[in-house]
Amino acid sequence: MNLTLAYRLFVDPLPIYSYWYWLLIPLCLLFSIVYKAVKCDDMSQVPRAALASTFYILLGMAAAAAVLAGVVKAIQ
Amino acid sequence: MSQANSGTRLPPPLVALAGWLIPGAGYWAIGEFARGTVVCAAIIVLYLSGLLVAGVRVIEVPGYDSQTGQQVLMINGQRLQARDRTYPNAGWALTSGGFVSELTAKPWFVGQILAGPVSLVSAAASIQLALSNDAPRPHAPLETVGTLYTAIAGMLNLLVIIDAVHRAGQPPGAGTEQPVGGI
Repeated sequence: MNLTLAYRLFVDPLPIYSYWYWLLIPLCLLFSIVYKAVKCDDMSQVPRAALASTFYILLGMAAAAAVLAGVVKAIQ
Repeated sequence: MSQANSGTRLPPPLVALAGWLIPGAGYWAIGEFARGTVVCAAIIVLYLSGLLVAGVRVIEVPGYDSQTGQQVLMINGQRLQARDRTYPNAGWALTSGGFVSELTAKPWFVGQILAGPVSLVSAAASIQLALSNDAPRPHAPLETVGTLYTAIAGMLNLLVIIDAVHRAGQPPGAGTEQPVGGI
C-alpha cells in the first residue's frame, strides 16, 4: 500500500531542496522590477532596465561566490 | 511614457497609509496607475512566492513561540519555560518588558510586516498552524529563501511608500526627474 501525503499549498514547503539556488533568479527579477519602477521616470523603460539590472545582480553574485570560493580554497 | 501626477492629491500620510494597506496604492493615490500596478503585482508575487516556497510557518511572530505557537510569557524580565506556564504573575512577553528582545530574536518580522495586511494574515495563519501542530516549520535552505522573499517584499514596499510620499509632497507640475545612468 502506498501512503502519500497530499501537498497543501502555502502550508507545506515545496519539495525543491535540491534546486533552491534557482530561486535566486525570480528574487532578483522581482526586486529589479520594483526598484526600476521606482527609479525610472518613464515606465516604458522598466522592462529593459529591470532585465539588465537582474543580469548585473546575478553576475555580481556569481563573481562574489567565485572570489569567496577562491579565498576559502587559498585558506585551506 | 511620462506620467504626471493628476487627480485629487492626498496628503502624504494618507498616501503612506494607502501604500501600506495595498502595495502600490500610494502611486494610485497620486495618479500614477501604471507604476502602482507594476509595483503592486511584483511585491505581492514576491511575498506569496516566499510563502509558497517555504510554507506559511516561515513567518515567525514576535511574542509567540516559533515551534508551539503559544504566547511567550515573561516574569521579571525572564522568559518562562513551558513547565512554568501556569505561574500566576507571568505576562505576555511583548507587554512585560520583552518587546525588544522578542524583536531582536525575530528581526525579519519587521521587514515582513511592511508588506501590508497580507503579513498580518499570514502571521495569524502561522500561529494557528503552530498551535494545531498541523504543519512543521520549514528547514534550511527553504526557510532562508522564504524568509528572504517575504522580508525583501516588505522592505521594497517601504521603498515604494517613501517614493510615493516624496512624489505626493512635490508641488503639482513638478517633475520627478531621476539621475540618468547607473544600474
